Amino acid sequence: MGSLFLKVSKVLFAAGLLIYGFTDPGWAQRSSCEECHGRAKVDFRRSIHKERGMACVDCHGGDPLDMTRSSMSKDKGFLGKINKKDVPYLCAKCHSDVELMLQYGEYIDEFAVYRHSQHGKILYKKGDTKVAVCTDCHSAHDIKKAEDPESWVYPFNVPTTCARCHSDKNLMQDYGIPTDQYEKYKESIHGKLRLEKKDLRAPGCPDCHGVHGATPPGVDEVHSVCGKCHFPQRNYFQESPHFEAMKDKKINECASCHGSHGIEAPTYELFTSGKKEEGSGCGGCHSPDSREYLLGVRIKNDLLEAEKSFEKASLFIETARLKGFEVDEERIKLKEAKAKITEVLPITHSVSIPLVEQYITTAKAGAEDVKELVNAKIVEWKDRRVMFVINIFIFLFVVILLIIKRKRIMPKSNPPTPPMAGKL
Amino acid sequence: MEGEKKYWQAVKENIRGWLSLEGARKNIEVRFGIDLSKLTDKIKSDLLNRPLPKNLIWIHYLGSVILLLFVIQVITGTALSFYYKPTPDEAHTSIKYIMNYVPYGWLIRSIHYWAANLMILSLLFHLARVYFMGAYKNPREFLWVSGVFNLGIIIAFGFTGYILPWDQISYWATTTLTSEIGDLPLIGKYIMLSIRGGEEVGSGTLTRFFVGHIMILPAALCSLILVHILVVARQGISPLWWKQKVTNPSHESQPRTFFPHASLDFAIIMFTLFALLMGLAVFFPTGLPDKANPLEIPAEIKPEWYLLFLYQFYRVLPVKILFIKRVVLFAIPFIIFIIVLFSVPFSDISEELHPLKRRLFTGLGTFALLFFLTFTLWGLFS
Ligand code: HEM
Ligand code: HEM
Repeated sequence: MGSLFLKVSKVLFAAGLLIYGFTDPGWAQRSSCEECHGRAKVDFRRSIHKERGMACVDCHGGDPLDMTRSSMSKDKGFLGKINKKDVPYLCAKCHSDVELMLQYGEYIDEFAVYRHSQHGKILYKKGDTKVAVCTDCHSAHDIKKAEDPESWVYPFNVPTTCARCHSDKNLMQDYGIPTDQYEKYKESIHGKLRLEKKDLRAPGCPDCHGVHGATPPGVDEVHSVCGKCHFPQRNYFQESPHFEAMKDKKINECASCHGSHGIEAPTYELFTSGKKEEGSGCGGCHSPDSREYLLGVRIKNDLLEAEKSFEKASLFIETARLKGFEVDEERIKLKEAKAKITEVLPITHSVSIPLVEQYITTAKAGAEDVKELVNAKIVEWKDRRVMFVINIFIFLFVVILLIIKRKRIMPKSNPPTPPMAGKL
Repeated sequence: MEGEKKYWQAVKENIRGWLSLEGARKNIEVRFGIDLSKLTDKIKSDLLNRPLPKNLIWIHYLGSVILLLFVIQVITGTALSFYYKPTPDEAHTSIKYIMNYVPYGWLIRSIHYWAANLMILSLLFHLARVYFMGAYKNPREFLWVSGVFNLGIIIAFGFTGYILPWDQISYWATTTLTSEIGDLPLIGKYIMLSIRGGEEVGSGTLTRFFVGHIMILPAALCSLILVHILVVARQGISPLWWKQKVTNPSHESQPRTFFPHASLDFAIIMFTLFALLMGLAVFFPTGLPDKANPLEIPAEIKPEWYLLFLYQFYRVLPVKILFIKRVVLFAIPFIIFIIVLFSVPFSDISEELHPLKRRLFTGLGTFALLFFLTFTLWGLFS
């Protein structure tokens, strides 16, 4: 009975293999692995590696043409499950091969960089295999290109991929690092832009921490990290007294005021507020009666005043527009004035009052200009009204004359009419 | 020498002959074969000295008000056409130019805008007065039918004029409306394409709306109004229900005539209207919303006030009942309404004029009026 079952299944297997062999020659030629490792097969079939013509044997060794268990013997170079520690080497076998990678336009420095990352250091210096290796971020079998929306490292998926480990309290407790970065990032201006608005200009984790070389930036490296995008701010910051304090490691550069993972879109409040959950305003370090704090108040008030004059100018423009005036020129002028404020925001990082106020004054003068230009139009409109009100009165006067005339010439009695008499 | 002098003398005489009133008159009479003195007599007796019907009251001037407003539209519209450029690129800019740089352009445009609105308003009043006074009854069925055509043409005027400034609001109102029409089964697509002049609301649409607005519709309306008024002149105005019973012909000794009596009344109305139009145009000039942007839908799309009731009615209809789409739910009562509107004088055949004695039609009219008012107000405040 038992042997019969075995025979039947062998025949069935052979038949299946034959049919499959005809339909998928690649598989028949190269792999007997998938016969048992179904799950891995399914994953692998969707990967970029499969698309580029790789097979199980390329990573795991062994003999795919051998239909017996001996296909997985040491003699046939079978590697089995790859040790976590060996994964980077294995991947690097191809991914550091210039000749091979050139044709795909891929980088070749991933492994070299990885070894210097925090992940790599812990792995190789301490032998601690809890850190991330290639497969933790890219998956093992269904590896996809980063451009593929299903990939774990697709730009919008990276933060969740990092969070898989970095939000895991159990995993992180040994290293003494926080686990709320992702939650904070999600709510931050960067996170909202990237995750909700799908704006790739906003950074994900690797944009600040590096990709394969992931490390936390040191205190005095923060400005170069933020400054990659916010370079005017960085430049002006370097001119400020804060830069010296940072060099003495008293403050943590950008992050001291703006926070790090939970960074919010800054408002003018930042000039006067105190310590906050993320970052801190001027009041966080400077006492409210200090000269420095008052500088903050001054800048804030200057900016608020400018905003107010913008609002007024917009209102003027809108009024004139509704009266049918062309206001394009004024709109452009107002935009230019507003641009001065956009320009001055980086400059506030220098906390140099003369420089800042020079810009704000120009902006306010621009808004005033606009108001005057529009006002001239509104005055013209009022003049028009006077002119035409006279006109209207002339019309009404004519009406009165006509009514008097009518009184004179109309027959006194309006005789009643017989029915249907209305033939003209 | 002598001959030359004579020649110049003759030329002088000839020119003098043409220039003097008497001479010009003779020349015209000979050349066109008409007796001018007879013609002026005819004008005097048939038009100026024509006795007015005894039942003429102020409300009968509404029709002439529409006519006057139409004349104003033709004049201001022609003036606008000198500067207006009917292409999507230039339309908005050209209107801006009219408003800001053409001398009194803003005034002309605002008058055109306000006269259009007043025209529709007085048209609705005219229609209501004719309806509730039973003025369409035998023998005036034709007047009513031509009137309904007038109504359609004026609304078409408003609709085609509306998009000419090519601003956000009118662009999107037109786009939405035509795309809903496109949802009608079978013919919808073709109606939509023929209104739009292409798949999208674009330069094709603007061109045909402009041509419609300044050529086809004016020509059609001119001829229809001419017919409408000639028929009124021929048939006289209908009797008034409250004067039907009273007869006292003895008072006819001192009849009122077209000139000066009616002309005077009309002049009073005309100058009042001028003052009103001027006031509206100066104190509430037409603004100009931003240029149409096919990529950005404005927050709110509302049609002009006189189409608002239809829009609001459309909005409150369910999106679908069973497999019947909303457009169809809308189109069915709409078409029935048009048919009923045309058939009014043919189905209300009693001789009774008093509104309370023809309850069915007064009721229908009141219902239509209430419907219009309710849905217009509802649309305004939602
Ligand atoms: C362009 C639009 C129109 C113009 C210029 C116009 C003009 C006139 C004029 C000048 C009269 C003479 C009496 C009066 O004014 O009441 C008249 C009468 C009349 N109109 Fe109109 N009308 C227009 C639209 C309409 C419409 C929309 C209707 C109805 C659907 C209509 C139906 C009538 C009728 C039935 C009369 C006869 C009234 C009577 O004999 O008492 N008209 N129209
Ligand atoms: C021969 C007659 C007419 C001509 C040549 C004419 C011409 C024009 C022109 C060139 C425009 C574009 C300028 C602008 O939008 O301000 C316009 C707009 C308009 N026309 Fe006319 N029009 C005529 C008659 C009418 C009539 C009878 C109506 C009314 C029922 C009307 C209603 C409008 C409306 C509502 C606008 C849009 C006004 C605006 O929003 O600026 N037009 N017309």
